[in-house]
Amino acid sequence: MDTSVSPATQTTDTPSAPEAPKVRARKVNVFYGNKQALFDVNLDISDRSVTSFIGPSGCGKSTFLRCINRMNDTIDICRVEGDIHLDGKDIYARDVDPVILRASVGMVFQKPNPFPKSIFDNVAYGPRIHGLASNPEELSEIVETSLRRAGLWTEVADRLDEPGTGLSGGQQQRLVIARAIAVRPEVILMDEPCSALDPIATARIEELIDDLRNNYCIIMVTHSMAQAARVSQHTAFFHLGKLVEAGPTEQIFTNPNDKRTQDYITGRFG
Amino acid sequence: MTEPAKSLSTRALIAASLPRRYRAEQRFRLYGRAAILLAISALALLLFSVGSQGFSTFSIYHFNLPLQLDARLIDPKNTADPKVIAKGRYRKLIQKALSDAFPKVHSRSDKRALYALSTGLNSVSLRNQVVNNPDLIGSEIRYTAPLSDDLDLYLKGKITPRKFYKGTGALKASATNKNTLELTGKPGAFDTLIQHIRQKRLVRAERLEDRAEKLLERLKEARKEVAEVQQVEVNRLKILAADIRQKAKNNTIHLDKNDPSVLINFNQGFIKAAELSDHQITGLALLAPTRLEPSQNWRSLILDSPERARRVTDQQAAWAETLLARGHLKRSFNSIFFTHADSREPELAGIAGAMVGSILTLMATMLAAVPIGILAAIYLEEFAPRNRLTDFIEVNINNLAAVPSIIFGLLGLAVFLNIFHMPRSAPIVGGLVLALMTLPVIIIASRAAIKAVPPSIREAALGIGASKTQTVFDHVLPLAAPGILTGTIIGLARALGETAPLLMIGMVAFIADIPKSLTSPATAMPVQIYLWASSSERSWESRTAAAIIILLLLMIVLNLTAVFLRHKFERRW
Repeated sequence: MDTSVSPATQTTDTPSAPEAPKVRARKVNVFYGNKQALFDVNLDISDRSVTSFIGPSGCGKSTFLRCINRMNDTIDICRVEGDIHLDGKDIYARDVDPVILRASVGMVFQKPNPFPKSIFDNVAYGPRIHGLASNPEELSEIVETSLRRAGLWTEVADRLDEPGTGLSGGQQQRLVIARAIAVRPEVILMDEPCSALDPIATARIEELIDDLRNNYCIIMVTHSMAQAARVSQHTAFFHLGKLVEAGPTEQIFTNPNDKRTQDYITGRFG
Repeated sequence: MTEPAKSLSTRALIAASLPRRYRAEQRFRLYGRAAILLAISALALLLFSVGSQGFSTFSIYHFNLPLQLDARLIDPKNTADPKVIAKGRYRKLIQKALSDAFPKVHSRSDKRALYALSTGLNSVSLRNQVVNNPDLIGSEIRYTAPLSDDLDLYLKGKITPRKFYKGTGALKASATNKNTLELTGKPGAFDTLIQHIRQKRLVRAERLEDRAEKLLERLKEARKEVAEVQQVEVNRLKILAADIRQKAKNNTIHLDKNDPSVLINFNQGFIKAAELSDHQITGLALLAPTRLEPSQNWRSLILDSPERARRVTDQQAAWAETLLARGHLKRSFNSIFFTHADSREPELAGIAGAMVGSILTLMATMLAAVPIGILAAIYLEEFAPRNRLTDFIEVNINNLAAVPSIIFGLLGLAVFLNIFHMPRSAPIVGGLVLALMTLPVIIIASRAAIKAVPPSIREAALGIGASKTQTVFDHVLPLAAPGILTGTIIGLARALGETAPLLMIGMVAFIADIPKSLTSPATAMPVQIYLWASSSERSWESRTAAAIIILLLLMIVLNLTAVFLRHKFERRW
């Protein structure tokens, strides 16, 4: 089994092919107590593109995603082994503060989780705690640009002081994306961002993701193979805690190397 | 073809079981309603009994009597020295004012009974009034101190009902000797009174016969020697009852010490009947009538409870009635109850001291328990690692919440008083003891509230790079605030109503001053209620109930605050 596939080097149809990978994982093992959830995952993820993690439920794709911004640190019984590098720097090194890491690796969750505050405060919270704005005008500028980028500005421009929880599901998810963008991350992790949304809202989010990939490295966990095919340039298939196969989306979906991948994408199990 | 048949039988089965299920549901609803009804009626009973007892305390009879501030008794040498003025004979002044109202009272015992209408402690407030305003010396002022508690109760009809009967026809009076008067009215003028006395006598006879019957019942099982003694008692009771019945039939009734008192209010005098027939009464003049001429203007007052069985004599009742009729007594709002601390005289006792004590104690409790409790809950819930130690701590906190409160009192006594030598009876110590008692409640409630905040909020904050502390204080705490506040206020309300631990640290003392600081001696409302409830005088009964009403009102205010804060801070996510 070829677990050390490097999409960045194998990819031929992306313009930034020779670039060094944005995220680089080597021999990542994750344990929940005594139970091992991930086995020796090696993966390179390239910048300015969308990478999808697919696989059946419980295969470890979300666990791996949460390793990239050290969200697993918040789970007491979770232990991570191996190296994950962001721009060549080990994010699990002693001197790395997870707070700084999470500011540059944003995250969007499965269920939209805006703070029970106003729309403005939702977006402004990150810049505020990180001190990204030196005055109120700058702050509202950041809020506006983030909301514009998330494609939400026109819908909420006149009601920024209304609670973020009052928006529709799709709008909430875009608000959450705006909130993540507001702290100027380099990588955005998305954990099944559309699974709680209707098809129209899903389409809007997908468009948004497509827009965002010009500026960010986006890593997305999805259960919808159609979505992975539509949105992502690279796809990684996880199965039973192992990374089975990774490569350009087109190749994974049309000509997978591994039989398990083929079985999964053709719907024989999952 | 089997499929529809099968589903039909399934349906039949379900249909057969349906009535039973509905009956069960109806039964359950009935139980629920019955339980709620029971709870509401218990509450209504409590409120009614406390309310009916306590409300009479909110008004009280005050004197409205002219009082001469005689310079000879205050400052005979006209020094105008505050020290001299403070030593004036104010008690004597009050006594003089009462004597002036009833100038014909001469004997020592009568005078003592008259002076008992106003407690001697009233001289203190009179002195303060004069010391603060020495210009009053020599002038006449209105004496407005409260009436003695027994007479206050009497006028409120709580000692025995004051039954007035309006007289019919003119009444003629003639003096037989110095103090005895003979009143003659038209035939049948006193029929109502005679009927009343007769009926009371029959009731008394019946009661004696009842007692004899019951004794006779018990006699059958008693030993021989005992039975003989008891037989004698039964015979005595029966003879007594027969005698009373016989006497009730007489045309002329001689009132004895077990009969109700009959007072005739005639020409502004009060005559206590000793012998009465349908048109004639002979009796002692408690207060001499102004004139002896015949007058239509008379009424009779019957006090059912015999004089020897109550704390107010007929003579005092006559004085009180006269003062009331002259407008020298006024019933008005009992401001003393809300502005004074405890006193040994019920009419001068107030709840203010205990209320301030409770508030100071609660403040100390709040300052100690709320920050520690909430921060401990945050640490345990959000920061502490899960291990044996934290498990042990958690178990202990849960157990502490169930420890009887008196144990905390003992702890306070041992630690705060004996080791740290903090002042006895002080609100600060009471507050700390109650804080120890309230802490587990606050911690448990706060932890539950923090636990109820959805993890997605924490993830959201952590995900954009908020530190753990920022996550907790910016997002988790505001969302948990309603729950924390509710738990805290319920814990504090419990502390407000707590008595036992305060007894142990000496907050049960008699304290006649309103506490001024956290270290001055104080008592708390529930302790005050406990103290008054165990006092023997009748007036304390209504004051206890009134204090309970105030405590309940305070509790309601606290709980409403909890509800209000909950609604104010409640946010959806």
